[in-house]
Amino acid sequence: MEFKWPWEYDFPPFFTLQPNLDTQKKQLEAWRKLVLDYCRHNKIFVLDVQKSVLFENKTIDRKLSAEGIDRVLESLLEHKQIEWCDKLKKQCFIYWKNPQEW
Amino acid sequence: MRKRPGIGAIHKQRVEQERFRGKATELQDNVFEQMTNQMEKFRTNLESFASKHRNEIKKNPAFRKQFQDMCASIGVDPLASSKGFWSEMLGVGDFYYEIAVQVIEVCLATSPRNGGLITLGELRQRLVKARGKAQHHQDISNDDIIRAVKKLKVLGPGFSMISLKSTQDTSDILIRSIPGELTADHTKVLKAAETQSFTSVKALKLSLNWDEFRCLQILSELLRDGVAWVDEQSTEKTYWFPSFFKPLMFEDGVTSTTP
Repeated sequence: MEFKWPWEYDFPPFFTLQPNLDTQKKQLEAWRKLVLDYCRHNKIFVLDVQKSVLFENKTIDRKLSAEGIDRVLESLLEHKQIEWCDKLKKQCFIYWKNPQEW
Repeated sequence: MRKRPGIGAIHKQRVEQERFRGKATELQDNVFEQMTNQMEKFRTNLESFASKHRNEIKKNPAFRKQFQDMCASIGVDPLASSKGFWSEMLGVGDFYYEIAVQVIEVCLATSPRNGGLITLGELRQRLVKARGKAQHHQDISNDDIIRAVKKLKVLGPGFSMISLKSTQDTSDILIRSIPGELTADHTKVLKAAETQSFTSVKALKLSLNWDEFRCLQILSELLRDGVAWVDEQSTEKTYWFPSFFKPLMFEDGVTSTTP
């Protein structure tokens, strides 16, 4: 089954970190969900941050900036949904289920 | 010198007045009785009408609209209270109150993404989706939704309607579900952004003939309210409105009221 991208993925400003903090909170929420859903769907356990196609949508010619990606990952980390594999923060384990659920 | 009225004349006058008064109350009673009779007749007529057309009113949006328009022309609001005998007989009250509750639910569910601004077209699609498969659940018209939203106004400020275009197509009407200021300037910007679902300072300057400061001011207010999102990856900064962004409408889930 094809992965179904959420509507945000086709919405150009989704790839720009929003200045309005309320909106940004919703934006990060949506990103977290997207990252988890995507990895779950494609059975990805270790996410290679730099190489992933996740943060770029070529059809609408938008990609999330390095800063944006950092923020998304930070927010995932806060929610205990990822863990870094190394100190360089190039790869991370991704927990689309938390240990309890496993 | 005029002759002053004697006691007899005064007495006569009083008797006449008495008689007039008597006649007046008699007439009034007559009118009142007639009115009651007419109301009674009206009620029985309505009862037979209702038993014949009850389902029609529930099922047929066009018929509903005609019925409502007729009520408006004789100065009756069938939705004013669920105790009114229009709504008791015809069930129109419950029908609209139900829609009103569903409108609130859909607006609440979608407000995180669109900042509380939704087009009537999208609202209707989502309502139809949430209402279940039976045919009479499906047949709700834009007119029905507009009526329900108008009734929501009695709950205080919160729901308002903004029509951007002067076209006949009511799907373009915007329903705003959060209170707050929406000035003429805001409306103009929304109007300018509607077809493409985004706009920019340059585009606004061109189409509205405003100076840069005014454009930026209004756009930043729309950002602040969560109605607009900013995009910095095109040739110039663009401001996008999720309310107008079309793919949204075909997205699944979220608003479904049935588990």
